[in-house]
Amino acid sequence: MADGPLIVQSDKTMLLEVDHPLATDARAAIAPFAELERSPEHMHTYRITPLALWNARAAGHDAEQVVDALVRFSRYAVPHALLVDIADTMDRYGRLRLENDPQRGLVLRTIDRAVLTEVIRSKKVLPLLGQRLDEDTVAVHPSERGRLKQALLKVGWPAEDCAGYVDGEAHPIELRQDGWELRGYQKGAVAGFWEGGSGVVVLPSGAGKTIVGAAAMAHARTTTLILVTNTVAGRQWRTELLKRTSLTEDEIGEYSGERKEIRPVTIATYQVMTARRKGEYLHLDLFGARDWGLIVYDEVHLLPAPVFRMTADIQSRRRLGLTATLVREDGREGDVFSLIGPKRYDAPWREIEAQGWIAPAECTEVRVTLTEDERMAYAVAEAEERYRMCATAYSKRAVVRRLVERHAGDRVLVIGAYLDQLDQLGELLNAPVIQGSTRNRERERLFEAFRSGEIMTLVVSKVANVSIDLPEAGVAIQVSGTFGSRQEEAQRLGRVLRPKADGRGAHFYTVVSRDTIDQEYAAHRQRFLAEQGYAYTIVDADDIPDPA
Amino acid sequence: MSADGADVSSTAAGWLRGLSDDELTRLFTLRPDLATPPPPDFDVLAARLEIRVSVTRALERLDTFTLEVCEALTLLPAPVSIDDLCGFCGTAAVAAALVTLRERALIWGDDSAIRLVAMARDLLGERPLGLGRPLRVCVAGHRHTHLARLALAVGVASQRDRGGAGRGSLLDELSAALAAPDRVAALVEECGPRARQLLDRLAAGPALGHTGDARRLLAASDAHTPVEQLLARGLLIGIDETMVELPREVGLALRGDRPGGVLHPEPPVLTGKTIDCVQVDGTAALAADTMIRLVTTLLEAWGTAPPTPLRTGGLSVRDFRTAARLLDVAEPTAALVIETAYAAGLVDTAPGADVMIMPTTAYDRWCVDTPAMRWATLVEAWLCSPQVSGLVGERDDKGRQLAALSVELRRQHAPELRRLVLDAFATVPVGLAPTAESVRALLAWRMPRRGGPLLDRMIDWTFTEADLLGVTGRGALSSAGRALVRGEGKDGDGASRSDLAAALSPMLPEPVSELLVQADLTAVAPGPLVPEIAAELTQMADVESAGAATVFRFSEASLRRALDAGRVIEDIRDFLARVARGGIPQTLDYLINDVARRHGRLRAGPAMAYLRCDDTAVLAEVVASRRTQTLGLRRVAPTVVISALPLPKLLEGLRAAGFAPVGEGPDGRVVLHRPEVHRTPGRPRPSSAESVGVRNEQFRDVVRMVRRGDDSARAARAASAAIGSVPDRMVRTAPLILVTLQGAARTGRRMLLGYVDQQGKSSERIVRPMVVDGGWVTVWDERATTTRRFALHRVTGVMDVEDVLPAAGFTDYGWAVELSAADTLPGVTEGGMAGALADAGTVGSMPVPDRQYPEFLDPEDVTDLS
Repeated sequence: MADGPLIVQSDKTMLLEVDHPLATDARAAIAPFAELERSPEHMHTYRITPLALWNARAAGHDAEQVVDALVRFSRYAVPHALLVDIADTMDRYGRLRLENDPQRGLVLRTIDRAVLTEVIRSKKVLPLLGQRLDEDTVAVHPSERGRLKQALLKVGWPAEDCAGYVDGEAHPIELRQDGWELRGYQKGAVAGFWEGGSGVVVLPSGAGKTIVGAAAMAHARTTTLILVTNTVAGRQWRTELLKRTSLTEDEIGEYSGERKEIRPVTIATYQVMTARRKGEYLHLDLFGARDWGLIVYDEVHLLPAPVFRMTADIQSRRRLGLTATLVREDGREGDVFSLIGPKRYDAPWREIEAQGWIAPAECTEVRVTLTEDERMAYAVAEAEERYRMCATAYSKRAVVRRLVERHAGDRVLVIGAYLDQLDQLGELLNAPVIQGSTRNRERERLFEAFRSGEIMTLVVSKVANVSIDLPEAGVAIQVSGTFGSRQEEAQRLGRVLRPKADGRGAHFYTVVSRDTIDQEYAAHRQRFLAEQGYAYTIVDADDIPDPA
Repeated sequence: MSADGADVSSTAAGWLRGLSDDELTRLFTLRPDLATPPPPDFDVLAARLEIRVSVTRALERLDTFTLEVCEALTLLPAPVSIDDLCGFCGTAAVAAALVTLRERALIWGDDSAIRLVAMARDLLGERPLGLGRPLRVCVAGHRHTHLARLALAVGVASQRDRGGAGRGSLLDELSAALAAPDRVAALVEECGPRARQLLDRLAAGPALGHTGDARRLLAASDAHTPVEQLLARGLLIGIDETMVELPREVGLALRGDRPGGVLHPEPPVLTGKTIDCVQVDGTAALAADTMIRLVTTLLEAWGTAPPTPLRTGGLSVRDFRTAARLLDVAEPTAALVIETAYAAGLVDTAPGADVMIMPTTAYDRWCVDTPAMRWATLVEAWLCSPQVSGLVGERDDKGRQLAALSVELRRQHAPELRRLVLDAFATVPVGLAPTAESVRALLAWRMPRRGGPLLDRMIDWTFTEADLLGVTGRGALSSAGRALVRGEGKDGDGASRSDLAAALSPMLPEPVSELLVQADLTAVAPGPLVPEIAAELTQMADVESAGAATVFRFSEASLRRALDAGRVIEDIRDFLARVARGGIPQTLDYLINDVARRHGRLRAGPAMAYLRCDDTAVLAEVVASRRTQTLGLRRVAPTVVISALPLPKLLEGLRAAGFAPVGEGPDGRVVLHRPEVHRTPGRPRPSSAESVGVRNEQFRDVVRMVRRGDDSARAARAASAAIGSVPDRMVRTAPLILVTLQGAARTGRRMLLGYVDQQGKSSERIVRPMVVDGGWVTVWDERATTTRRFALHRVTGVMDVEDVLPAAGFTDYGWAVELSAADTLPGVTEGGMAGALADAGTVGSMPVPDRQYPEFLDPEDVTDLS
């Protein structure tokens, strides 16, 4: 195509021009085999990785389709080496298969003897294999099923797991579709998952992942273990399940720090699963507590490492992963692929995008010029004190006050990392401060008052990052953070991202000291947000009018 | 010497003399070794046509069918007419092959009397056209009793009754019997259908077969298996423990009216995938662009930090890997980039004691060429380079790694092989990407006598390299690649660089002059950038991803680099505003302002020494003093003055001016460092276009020289004939000595041989040359009745004495018994033998061993090789 929307680079990245009339078609065509890396305003960057290609292969795409999609939408010629590489990489998946042989039990079988010989020679793979049964087959102990898949992925020959699953303890679950029904893509997701046996369904936030989980349970009709990121998420699952399915309160158990119920459907948090005492995991036996027929992993991209290890042992149970993105900050995408399973379903973007799952948020960086004294103090400060020096600069206070006044009538969260700074701000703004030492009952009371509108401004410390009960606000002002953490920035931004009832936009301010390390960290976080497609503006503190 | 007419038809020298200048030039172009050194006359040139190495080389360049025609010529008696030859081969395509052979002077004479040069006959004649050797050669190692048993089985056994039947006559009879189709058919019939199949297979060629029973020579009645039966009847001959051969006579009899067997006048057809032409050219253009970028990136790096070559020459493994990492490509690609840049003369080792590898001055010129021109330079150099980049990283016999840029990568035939592969590409329709296998098959047809592992691998390498260079795109020849091949294919002129560049230009995508600048501080050029914009942008942003498009990233460091290079903030902003579609995002604007604000706040400068004083009045006085004006003082701050003079001189000057300064240590001195950029003058590399022209001119000179020399030689001969002097018939020039000896070795004529031994003593002997090989001639010395070997370079002259000296008393070695038997035979001839013996009688007064057959070299027979 002479003027296609896609430019394929030789370093396996692809640039998609978003304003191009064919951009949506192109995105739909490349989504199965490429991961979105950056999405700034004009050009989105996708990357073709071996995992993405294998995912596509597992989903039934072949190299020809991939090449065709590239050639069709590409503005310039596609580097030949890349096309060859794609074909080679995709060809590696499925040469080895894990199968259940009626006589010999679990075996690794190959359609290409050279490959089997190669992997057997690998020091990492050999210990996981049993006896060689014939030229194309090697016995595998069922307990090594997960670790073998991990090892094979590492040596570049991912195995296709066709060994099947145990049925688990049957338990009747029905979807109760009264006044609502499964959307098309949700049905597709469940079907895709069930056909593949185990795997990950990728849906953007707000696209109804919980419902996909519920539908999968109704399909499996078996006892189910659901692993979620935190208690709040767990309770949301519980509410949804009660609403959407025939399950009753008695059938759903919560297995968290507070309660340890094991019921036909049990919802456990990652936190409790990874809790340890003297190096021993305390709740490992949860996986064996019942004959689970299905295990659901919510937010797979956040799955902690110990859970991967536990998952390696339960490869004969069906696993459903739910996530909005396969990209993990820790780079353990390979473990998701080999232990949970390949990507089984990818949402058609157009359909979900139309629902507006990102609330418009306006991110602003407010630059404060330090006074001469502050600059001098900063200049001579010890290296480890420098960030604190500039992050808690006195000059920031006036700006914060002006911002709060500007948004009078809106609920404002002021978020910071240094307690004395927060205390001063609380005093200045005449607002209560919530920090680590604030007692739970006091917290509850303040949150409730904030929700009801009794209190319009709250000053919170780092507890905002993890505290799940923190209510939503229309405005967040970040005065100091944990250095340049992108994760933290995203979490804090998330506080204001929920769509508002009246549709008004959210505001996210970061107040930074000019020409200091504070600004450098801000730039790092800002780049992350820009890559994620958020508009970001920078203003000078002096440009913020004093409403008074 | 008779009139020229007879001369033309009867000798090679005469035929050569009759060729036009253009034909001779063409001959020298095709076989340059004939012209080096220039032959003094046509006799010498004709002699050179018989040199083994030269003929071998010429044969190597023939295609399968032309070789088949050659082989057919070895089977036919010389001279042969074109009609007879066509009849033998069963195809009229022979004519074209004859043209090829004649312009290479592998055959001579006109179409009515075609002669193959004798050396070609020697080289090809052993098993031509898949036929075996003649029976008498096949059975060279067999005992007389074996032959007798064969004779019995074939049905010529009656002679056994005579007793003492000579080996020679027995063989003649056997050969004659097996050459008769009827007799052969009858014998085959006896052996059964399986044997018939076996024979048919061998008759189609090759005539050799493997079997464990090769030595099982049984009586016909005892033979059971097909092989045993065939062996017993002489239809197959065991030539060693495991091999059987179908004798030529039997093969021809079995082939019937197609004695030439199946010939291959048509080359195999190339097969492969068809690719859309737009795709082909697009991919090739992308590759061309990438190659230019890689060369530039590498040489820029080497210009700043030139690597030091190994002591043995070439790039060290570490430097090589560093280059591959820098280019972010696989090592074979890096090797291609390095070798191509070297071949194009863009990089070389600097002369002098401190040898380093660095870009040449030609590189600077190359950089300002258009992209198409730059590509043309690279591709042309690649095609002509004897360096084989595919070998980099492999190990030689001693286990040492072959280094890039080292002489070990040199393969003389590499350019020719590359061209052959590309020529193969050019034969297919546009857009077809031939498979390597089919190209292999085609090349095997085009030059069956070449081959070997290098060719095989060169095919693969040329495939990948052509793709990387953009000569091909997705495996099919691109438009520009076609121009390259076409240019090379034409006689004489190669494609000029500008032709190549002109062919590439339309393939390159239209350059863009717009950028998409985004809030995450990246700028995307959605296509190849206009060079000026690219140059400016590279100064202020780092390349993050390159390819058809380029992604640049702005950072504090990259912007500072632009400011350091003398750009001012307004420039940068204007430039971006001009090229950025949709304007500069606010984040970038802030970044530019931030960097600009901080840039230059600190000032640094050169000073050899400084002067400081807390009392500003004193400093003012120093600077104002007339006596310090020569000290180059400058007041940079109220309390600091710097000087351009080194500290000792400054101190001296100040003291002379009446002040009392005290020197301080070296701290605080500013050291300026600027990276040095290295260049070496490049050595000139001949372009293909130039060299072809020059070569043609040289060959024309050679033709003129030969004609002059030949004329004067003939004039001298004519003059001596006129005055009636008897010329010395001794041949004394080296090439003629060689060819005379070779001729004698073939025909078995006796020679007077002049020789100087190691002590410098000269002697003359009457000898019968047997084999001329490897600089030695092996002869039968009549006087000593033994074989001897003489070094050719010690032979001072030879003369044919066959007709002068009678052969009395001569007995051939090893044949003594048989000869004496033969001598006595005429009286007792009977039946079938009479004809053969009568023939022998007419040849001369004594039988001469048939020199065409190499059986005399059999180790058992040659006993006295000194």
